[in-house]
Amino acid sequence: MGARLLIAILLFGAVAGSGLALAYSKHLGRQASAELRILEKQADALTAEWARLQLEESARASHGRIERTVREQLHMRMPTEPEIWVITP
Amino acid sequence: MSAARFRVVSRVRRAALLVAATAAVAVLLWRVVDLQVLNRDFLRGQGTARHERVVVMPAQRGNIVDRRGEPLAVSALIDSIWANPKALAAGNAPLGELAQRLRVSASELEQRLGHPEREFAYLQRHVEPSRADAVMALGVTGIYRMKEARRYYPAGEIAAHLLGYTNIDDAGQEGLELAYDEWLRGVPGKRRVIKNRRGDVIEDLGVIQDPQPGRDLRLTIDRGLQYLAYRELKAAVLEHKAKGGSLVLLDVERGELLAVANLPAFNPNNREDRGSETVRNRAFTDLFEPGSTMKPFTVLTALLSGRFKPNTVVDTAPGTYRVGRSTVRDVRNYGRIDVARVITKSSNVGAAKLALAMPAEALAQTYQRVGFGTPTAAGFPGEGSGQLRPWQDWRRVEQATLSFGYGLSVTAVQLARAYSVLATGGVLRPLTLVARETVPEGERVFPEAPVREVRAMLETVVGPEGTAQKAQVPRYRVGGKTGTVRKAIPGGYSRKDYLGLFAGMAPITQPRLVLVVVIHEPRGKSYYGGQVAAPVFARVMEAALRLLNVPPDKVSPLQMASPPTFEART
Repeated sequence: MGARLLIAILLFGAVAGSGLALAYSKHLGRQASAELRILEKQADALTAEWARLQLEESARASHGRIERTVREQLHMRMPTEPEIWVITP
Repeated sequence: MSAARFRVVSRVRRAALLVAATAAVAVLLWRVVDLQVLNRDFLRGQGTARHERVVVMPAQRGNIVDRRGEPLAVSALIDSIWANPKALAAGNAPLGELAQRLRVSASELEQRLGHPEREFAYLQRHVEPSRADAVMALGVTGIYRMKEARRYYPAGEIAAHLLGYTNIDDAGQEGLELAYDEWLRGVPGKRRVIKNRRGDVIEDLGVIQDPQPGRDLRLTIDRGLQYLAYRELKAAVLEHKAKGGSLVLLDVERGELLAVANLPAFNPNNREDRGSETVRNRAFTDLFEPGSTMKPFTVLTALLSGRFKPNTVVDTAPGTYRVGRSTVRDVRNYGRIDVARVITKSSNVGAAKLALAMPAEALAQTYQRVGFGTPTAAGFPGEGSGQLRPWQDWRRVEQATLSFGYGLSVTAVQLARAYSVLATGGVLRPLTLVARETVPEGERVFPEAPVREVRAMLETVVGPEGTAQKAQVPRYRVGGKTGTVRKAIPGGYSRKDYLGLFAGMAPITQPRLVLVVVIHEPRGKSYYGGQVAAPVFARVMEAALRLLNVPPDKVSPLQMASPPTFEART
């Protein structure tokens, strides 16, 4: 009788324990997937930011803009023929 | 088993148990009837509203970059506003205010919402963030915002024809966006979710398939050179009041197209700015008769036959030459000139006489070997292949006119490829627009010696007696050939519509670049290739040689010495 009772108690404990463990792991799963969603959103935001920055850099470094700036603000010009020297090794 | 074990303990207790059990069964039965019969429709509706859905995860389209990795086409995310017409119809949404913030008329909004039974309708795609914020600030149930990809072309009109564009659903429609759509396009992913009645995701059941982003496409185009080429071409087209123009810059050592510019152009970032006239990449699709730019290949055939040397004399007097019922004319009477001067002066009579001294088959072989009549397969969709009739069908007059470039048609890119054979000393290398790992060996189609002789003749064209002094480039020896072609119109040739051409290479001692310039229908004072196209060649070539660090091959000794002010810094 004592042995049977002991087994029953042990089994009951195991069932209760596994039930709690299941609930807990489900909870962890939800937390992880929530975190995943946040991270995915962040990744998307970063990709968008990267594309935006690429576009901005490209707009600022456009050859037309550089040429205008260089000529108008820095007053640079192409060297004329006698100013060009070719250096031979 | 003794009967004593079934002794009745208490009647009351037994009756109570019986009643309790019956009541429990009755409750359960009632609940079954309630769920299955009375509330069936309501519950089924609730069920579908909250069920599992598979949502698509869009994949990012690959970028297109130039040879140095500079972006030419980039996908970025932008807001789109959509509605659930069913949910919107249920509440009383302030549609007037909504239409105002979307900047559409009320009737337009109604039309976009469509049938109220539907669960999805776009209200406005690709809206700027401020307007999307204004719409969302209304807080109407059933209005949502989503992120969609939009394609941006930072180089704008400069590389518009090459890149083409995508439609609003991010699929390639024209140009390289179309040709490499498969490569650029990603594979969308799928995820399983549970959505609530309002369509919000309430639980994520996991990813079925991860989205695979598209791959980047690296071109051989150099954005800096493309800009320069476009700028100079545009300046020339404006100056000469031309209808359009094309320019092809080719690295002959690698078979790579460095710049392909066209006019008229369009802004690929603006969906309205896309007419069929402006969108065409003329350098690849438009066919024209190459005119005098064909003569070097006629002369090459003559040299290959062994019967002519560069100094063999050809009599072009009196400047006209009757072939059958037609007459070939020169601009003036050049008299007795050698083969080299046929190129320098661009003599039609000389070229025709050389061609008629040759079997038709030999000429056809040269033209075919430099690729006339076959597309370049550089990777551009809708490329023209050009026309070259089989030599067996040539009449005598045709053989004569072919020698100076009438009676066949080519594209600007084909012409550049043909000149690259002269530049490499007889090697035909397949062209490409897309960066490749290794440079293909190429195929030797002519022995080197006669090709070198033709190249020397091309240098005389930009010399003091040639037709294209304006093609000269400081510090570099260059060579090329002009062409001024009457446009073919139905029933003959136009009297007022010309094509100004220049095809050339530099540095002539060991050519690195080939550049072809085509100006369509110049309407200014001059229309000769040497006047309208050669200056573009000179300016673009000079800049390209400088930017690519090609060592000069023509420097006066004065400028060669190291000036004392320069000191080596380590």
